[in-house]
Amino acid sequence: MLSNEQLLRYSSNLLMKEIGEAGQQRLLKSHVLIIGLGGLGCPASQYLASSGVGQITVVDNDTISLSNLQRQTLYSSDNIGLSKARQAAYSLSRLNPDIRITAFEEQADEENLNALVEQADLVLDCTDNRETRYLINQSCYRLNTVLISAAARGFNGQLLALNPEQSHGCYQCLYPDAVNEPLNCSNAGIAAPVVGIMGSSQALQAINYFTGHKLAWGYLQTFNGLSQSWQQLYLPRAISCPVCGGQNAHSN
Amino acid sequence: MRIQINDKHLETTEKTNLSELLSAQNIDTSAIAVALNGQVIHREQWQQTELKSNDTITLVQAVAGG
Repeated sequence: MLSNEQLLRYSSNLLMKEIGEAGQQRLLKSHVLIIGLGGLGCPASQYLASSGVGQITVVDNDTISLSNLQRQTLYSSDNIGLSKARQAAYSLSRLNPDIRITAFEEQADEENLNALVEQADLVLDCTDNRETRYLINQSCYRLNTVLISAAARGFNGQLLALNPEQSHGCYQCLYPDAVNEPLNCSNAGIAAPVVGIMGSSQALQAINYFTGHKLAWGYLQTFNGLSQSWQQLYLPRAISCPVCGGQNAHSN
Repeated sequence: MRIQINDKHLETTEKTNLSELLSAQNIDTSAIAVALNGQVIHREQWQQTELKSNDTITLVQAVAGG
């Protein structure tokens, strides 16, 4: 049963048949792991917290810098130098004291990822580098956990919803070369609303998943912020993929 | 035959496969995903993927920022 305060706080969700009281109950029982609290992780965590996802774990070992404030909406000018994870947890719990926020001031790596992923119902990859993206993909496939991955640079965004139980490809299949791009948000630039759209899209997909709506599993969705257009490309499994192919394949 | 690569249209006279076309166009394939008519084609299949007229190729630059 929802409390009177919850009925008010989540009234806009409750009014829609697509979520309703049953959907809200499912959101409140869900646990999302958000890795990375930059331009993607900020809006993603804000929308999930405000929508009433009952448990949110945030992970980032970075500190807030002045150049982050163009796009990282959880922080303000007097937060510079503070831990992103700790500050995010503080802002999110002020936004919604009805839910549980756990913060880890750590870099997600081989050591801690399995333990973090294991506890979550769904993972958002909001990181800013390819090495961590490969590790998160591996861990989600190993533990059979749904992963919503997004990335952005310049005016371009990419979004990919992966369900290890399904037969589509994974992040490793999409970009099999461990090439590190010379360009990232800090040196190539990023249009703030573009990364905001991608982070919000991750939150929307998580909400749709928990409330029983179909996701475009295995489709790479690209967003062009100049033409404001989306494109969908299906990602089949690479037979030779060391993460989801061959013997590791969960389904056919 | 007429082939589209992202926003660019090209005419090729000879039969070609995806691998030949990408190298003829001098495309750096080290950090991109390649899709044909809306489906990603993995590198090991480029050689055997024969192109036909009106095929649409989409090149997606890998992006990892966030």
